[in-house]
Amino acid sequence: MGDVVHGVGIGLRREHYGEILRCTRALDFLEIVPENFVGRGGRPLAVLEACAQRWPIAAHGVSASLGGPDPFDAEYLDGLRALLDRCRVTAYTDHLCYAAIGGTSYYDLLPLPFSTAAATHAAARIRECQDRLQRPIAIENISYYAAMPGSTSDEGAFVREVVERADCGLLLDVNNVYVNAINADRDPFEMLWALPTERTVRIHLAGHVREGVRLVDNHGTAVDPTVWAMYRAVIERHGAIPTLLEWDTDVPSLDRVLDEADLARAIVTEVAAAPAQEVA
Amino acid sequence: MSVDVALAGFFAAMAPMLAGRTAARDVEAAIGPSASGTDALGFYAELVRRNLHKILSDVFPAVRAVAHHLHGDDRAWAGLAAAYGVAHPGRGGDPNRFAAAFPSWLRGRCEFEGPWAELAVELADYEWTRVLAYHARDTDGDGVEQRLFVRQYTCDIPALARAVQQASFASPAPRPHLVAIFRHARTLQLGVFQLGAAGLAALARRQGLAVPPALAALPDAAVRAAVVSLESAGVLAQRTSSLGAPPCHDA
Repeated sequence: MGDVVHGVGIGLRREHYGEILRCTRALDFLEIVPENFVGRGGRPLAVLEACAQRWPIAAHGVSASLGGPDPFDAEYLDGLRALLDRCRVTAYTDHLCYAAIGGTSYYDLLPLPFSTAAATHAAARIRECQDRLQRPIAIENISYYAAMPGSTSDEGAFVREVVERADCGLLLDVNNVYVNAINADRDPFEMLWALPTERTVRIHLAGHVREGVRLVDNHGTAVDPTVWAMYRAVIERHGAIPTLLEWDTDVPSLDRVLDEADLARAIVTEVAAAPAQEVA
Repeated sequence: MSVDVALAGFFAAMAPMLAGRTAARDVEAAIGPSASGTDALGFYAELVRRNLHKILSDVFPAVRAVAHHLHGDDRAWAGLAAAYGVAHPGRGGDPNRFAAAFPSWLRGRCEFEGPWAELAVELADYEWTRVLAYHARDTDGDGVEQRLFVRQYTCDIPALARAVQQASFASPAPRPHLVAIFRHARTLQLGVFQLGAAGLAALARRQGLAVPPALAALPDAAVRAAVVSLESAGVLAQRTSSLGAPPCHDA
């Protein structure tokens, strides 16, 4: 992916603007939501530019609507590319989803039907977006609460078809896998390994909340123990992969977020130090 | 890039459901069932509704607080958010832009009566203006109508916006209030600066605008002093040497 990002990072959130630049704890990179900066100025951009002098920046979009039916917003993508250049962001990530139909934005990450038609469509759009941004893209497996009508396969096969057709990387959101598995009453590890994890270039970890009959991916709590176990399994299988600790709802203190990120760092260290397993 | 026919049918069926105009069972009747069940499919309309509600609540906390105060709970605000979402669907990737038309749309809504009819609109305008000022692109000049906005309200709306977050409050007596709502030229913090005649003349002069005779008659020294005050407070970009700074209320 030609990525300058490594280690364990956290999201750059406005709640931490006042203290992030005084941070002295271990922190390998910061991830931004570029929609919060493209075409804007003021304090957010000033903080970002100062942070970019100190940490590698990752950019994780939420509105590209890579699987959507609408043409890309060329002006936005031009602005995005300029921002990525300015902050020396070498790769871009977004979600395997759609976010708008017919010009109406829903401000959510909406699942596509798991079908070859949707995979072909999304893959072509990912290639187009890569060309426009002039850098590689990795796509995130989203959380979803319903299989969409028209689905002919499952999530794992669908994501694999997309990344192989687009020849792009996977941003593996481990919490999303867990949420999807529990909501579908399936085994989380089975769903994890059904994904093309060998293409993982970055990992996201986050918390979720139970809401009635379902888990909701809200990025507002500590990481679930099973999600940590899944993360460890991925690192054991594929080695250290740049990992982001997401906390976007009820954002706690910077120290609390970094405490959670340290847990990921500890797992990477433990796995690296463990004796290699013999393979039969 | 053309979209596969079945996929196009999927988007065509989902759009009205996500907008709350049809139900999940209508989607399933059109394009087939969800393996997860109708309720699970319909949850997406609820998620979109929540998103729009959250955007408006984040941008307009004072208006929401007034609605809550007047109606005793959050239902009126939720109804406003839903009605606005139907009238002004989100466009583009910037969620804040979804809120852009809310202040003018609010005018005449029955949820706000008596003095609150106008005050709610002015509060919404104030809160939206702060968003504009905060996020405006950086400019070399003063950034008028970008990071710096002049408003005349019927009362001290910035003070009211703070007051309505408290447990109890009353509608203030009308008293015209002229303010600059701005992002500080150097610290980038949001601020409010109460303007007098000299300040207004200074802003007009800075923009090269003609001023009414009453302002033109102000002593030149008073206008120059106002320019210095506005620069010191960060309302205007620094062009003169700074003297004493008046208080800047970071709202």
